Amino acid sequence: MSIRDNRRDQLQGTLDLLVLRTLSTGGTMHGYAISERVEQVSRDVLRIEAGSLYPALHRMEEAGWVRSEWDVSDNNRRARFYTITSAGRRRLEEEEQHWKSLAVAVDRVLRLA
Amino acid sequence: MRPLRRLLNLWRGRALEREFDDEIAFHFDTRIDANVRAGMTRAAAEEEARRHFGSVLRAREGMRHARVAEWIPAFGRDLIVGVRMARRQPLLAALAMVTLSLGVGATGAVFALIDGMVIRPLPYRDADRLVTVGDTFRTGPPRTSPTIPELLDVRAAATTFEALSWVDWRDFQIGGGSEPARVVGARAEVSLMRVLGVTPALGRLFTDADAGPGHPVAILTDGLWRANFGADPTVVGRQIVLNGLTTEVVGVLPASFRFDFFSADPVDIYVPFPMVPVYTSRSAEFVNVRRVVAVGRLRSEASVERADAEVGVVGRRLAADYPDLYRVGTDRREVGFAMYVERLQDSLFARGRATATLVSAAAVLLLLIAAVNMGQFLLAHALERRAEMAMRSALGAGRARLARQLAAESVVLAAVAAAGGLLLAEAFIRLLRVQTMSQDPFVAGRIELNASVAVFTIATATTVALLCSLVPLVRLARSSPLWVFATRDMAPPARARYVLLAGQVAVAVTFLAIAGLLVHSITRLNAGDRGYAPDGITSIRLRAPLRVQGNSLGELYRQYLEQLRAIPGIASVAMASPLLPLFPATNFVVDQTSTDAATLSAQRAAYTIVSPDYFATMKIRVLAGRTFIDDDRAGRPPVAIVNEEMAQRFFQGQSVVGRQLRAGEGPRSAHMIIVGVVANVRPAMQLEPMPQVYVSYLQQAEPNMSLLVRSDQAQPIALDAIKRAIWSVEPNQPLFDARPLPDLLFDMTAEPRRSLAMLLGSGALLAVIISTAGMFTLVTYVTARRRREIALRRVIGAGIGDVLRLVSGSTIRWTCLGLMAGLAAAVGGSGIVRANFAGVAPTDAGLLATISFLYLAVGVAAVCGPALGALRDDPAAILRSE
Repeated sequence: MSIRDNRRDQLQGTLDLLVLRTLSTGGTMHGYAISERVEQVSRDVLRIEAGSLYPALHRMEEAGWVRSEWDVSDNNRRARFYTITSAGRRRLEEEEQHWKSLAVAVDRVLRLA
Repeated sequence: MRPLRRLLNLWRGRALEREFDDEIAFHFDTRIDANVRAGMTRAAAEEEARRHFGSVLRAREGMRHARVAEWIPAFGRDLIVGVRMARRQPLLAALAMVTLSLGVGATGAVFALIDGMVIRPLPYRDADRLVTVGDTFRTGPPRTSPTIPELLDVRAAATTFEALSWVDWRDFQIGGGSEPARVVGARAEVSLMRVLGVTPALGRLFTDADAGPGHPVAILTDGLWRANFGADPTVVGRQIVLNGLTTEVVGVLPASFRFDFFSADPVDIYVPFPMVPVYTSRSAEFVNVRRVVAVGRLRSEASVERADAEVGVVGRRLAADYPDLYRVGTDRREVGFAMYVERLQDSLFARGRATATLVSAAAVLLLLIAAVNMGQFLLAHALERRAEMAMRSALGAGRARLARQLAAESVVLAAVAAAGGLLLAEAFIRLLRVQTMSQDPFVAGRIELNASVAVFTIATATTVALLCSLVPLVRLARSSPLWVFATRDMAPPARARYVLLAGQVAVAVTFLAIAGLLVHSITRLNAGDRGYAPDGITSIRLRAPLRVQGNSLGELYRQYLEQLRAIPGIASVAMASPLLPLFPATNFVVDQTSTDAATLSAQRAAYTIVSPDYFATMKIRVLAGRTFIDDDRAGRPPVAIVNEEMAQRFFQGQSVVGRQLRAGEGPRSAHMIIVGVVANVRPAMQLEPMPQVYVSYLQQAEPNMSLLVRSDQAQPIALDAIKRAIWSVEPNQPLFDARPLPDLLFDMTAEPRRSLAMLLGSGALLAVIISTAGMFTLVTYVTARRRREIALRRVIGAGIGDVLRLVSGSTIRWTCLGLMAGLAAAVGGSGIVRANFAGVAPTDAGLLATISFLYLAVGVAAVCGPALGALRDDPAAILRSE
């Protein structure tokens, strides 16, 4: 894997990975729940800014990885709920693979270089 | 589907924005609620939520970007800017657009011509396998028709042919339809229709049995079937009379079928080519008559080249086998006989190929000139906008963004050029059709604006527009983004640009002058005293039935006239051939004068056969003696009437009546006594009178006559009454081309020169527009280029005149050069036109002066616009800006 291959999409790819992963385990969720969940699981290390999250969700819906519908939330308000699609699951698998190999590579460099 | 949704979202702006807002609001409120539940005050909770959320603006931008195909409105804005740019210099933009449209339109029209001639297959089954077979001789015409015996030999020997047929054309007289008619008949070898792959609309095609003598048959074309048989569905089996022979109609051809490329008029009827020894045998008198057109169908696996080689072998064998036929003279010189095969389509359009090449070259040249003009316009335009471009570039617009702006402009350009080009292509195509109609009606019918022509035209427009918009991009992109300072790098217009301009001006002036002379000549030929009065006369042509021969022709005509005179409303009626003098067709000798060869060849006169009332009907004045009487018939002393011109030029003013004269070519040659002198009439196609000899229709037999009927009322006599009167004498007499004489005259005099004048005139108009646009763009360019210099000069005291001279001097100088060259060419060219078109005045100084004046006026206007624009700028501001 060349570094150039993923230079531009690195951050975006990571965001997609986090969102898709969250949706694949959490089922149907709205944007706020997704960001809360990521923060909670990562013990507040990873914070997703809403200004990045929502464009990413809309972009992923255009790409067909998630779909959305308006529904009523726990606090009785209208919210947009996102669900991962099968194309999204395939994408998640690719991104996970990608991330893991990257992590292994970076780890090796840190240990051996 | 998703890209489509992104497009559709363009129109859902409001609704989308509301959704985004709702989603963001939900996020906020949920966060605030959570914060409040955790014990924060309302204000602190809101503050934390805002901080936690980040930029709302960025979120909304990002969402919109994800959902909406935004590049389209951006491009649309660029388009609008492009249009607005053009609006800022409307005249210049319009000129450049018109020029480009003209170039594109002309190219499209020429493509339509080439499409009709070369690209689109002929309308027959497997037309690419149709070929023609012909002869060539080293001495004599390069390509001629083959003889029937040659074709029979090819048919017997060639293995590459599936079938070989031929056809020729004749005048026929037809009876048994709704009225007797003269028709154009094709004598088709019986397999012709099968070779062409035609299915009859009614009845059958010819069979081999039809070729022999015995039972005459005919096939009607759709046109004749409708015109003369009332589209009778039961016409098959009907007996008609064809050239006096009872003939059975066996079929009717479909309306779509046409095969009359080589005949002057559309074919009306087909008969089998008679396979009789007079045609098929080498010992018969027709052995060297070459008038058929051969049509062959190759086998599907055979190529034209193979067929050509094979037929070439047959030709060489024939030349060896029949030395008598293919060697000439006392030294038995070989005449270089050979036979060839050619695609039918190629041979059909061989005649038009030179014209097609010429107009293609002209159109491409026009397109090039238009593109050069447009490129220069855009460059001048970009120069003027360099400040704007620099500003945008400085504000961070990337090269790509600027290129997109230019591309948007070129889209505007392409759209206008395509639309204008299509419109003009249609106009040019009509002109081409009119122009080719007289020489080649078949090609004319195939020139049309079809889908492929439209696609070609639009593609040409797009390509040229794109290339034109590249000019400023390439020229300006080389310099630094700070184009403001780039003026000094701009090259002055190349000498070639000025030479091109002078050339355009010269062509425009030449064409204008010659077109003007032609139009003028039409007026001259149709105005003033002609020596006769055409108004109120109807002319009808007739050809006597074939069985009426010799002196009985005159007797038949006399009876026609007698019947016609009885029709109420006819003031007088006469017959003539030709109805007006066309050209001096006969030698003549005045008795008791010198008859050496030189004098004889100089003594030529028009020769007209007329009935006695011709002079009264045409209102030609009788100056001396008498006109003809019905007693001037065969067996009586031959008499003649001459015109004033003849009397004055060849009888030295002496008394003419009673003198003798020999005139008439060939069998018509006769000694005649002059019994009268009549006034001159203006010949059909020239202004000056020519010597004329009139002879009596009862003393010279002629089957082709014109009937001249003068009505005594304002209305012409009903054609039906005339037909009934004539058919009461001879039921099989065809009558055709009935027209008011003034119309006929106008067509005879005006038609050929009118279409030439139209062609030249539209060429001239093109050249005027293009050269004007050229002047305009050149001056605009020079002005833009020297803006700083002009400002500097004005600051140090240069006047308006100095500035005008500076920016337009070269353009005006070269325009005047072109003007003078054009005037010289017009004077030379008018000589050629005069030789071909009688009645054309020698160079008309007034006309030339008018053209020069108009041209200069247009030129000055074109030059002054941009030049004065340079003066409106504030020089101080320009200098300060640098």
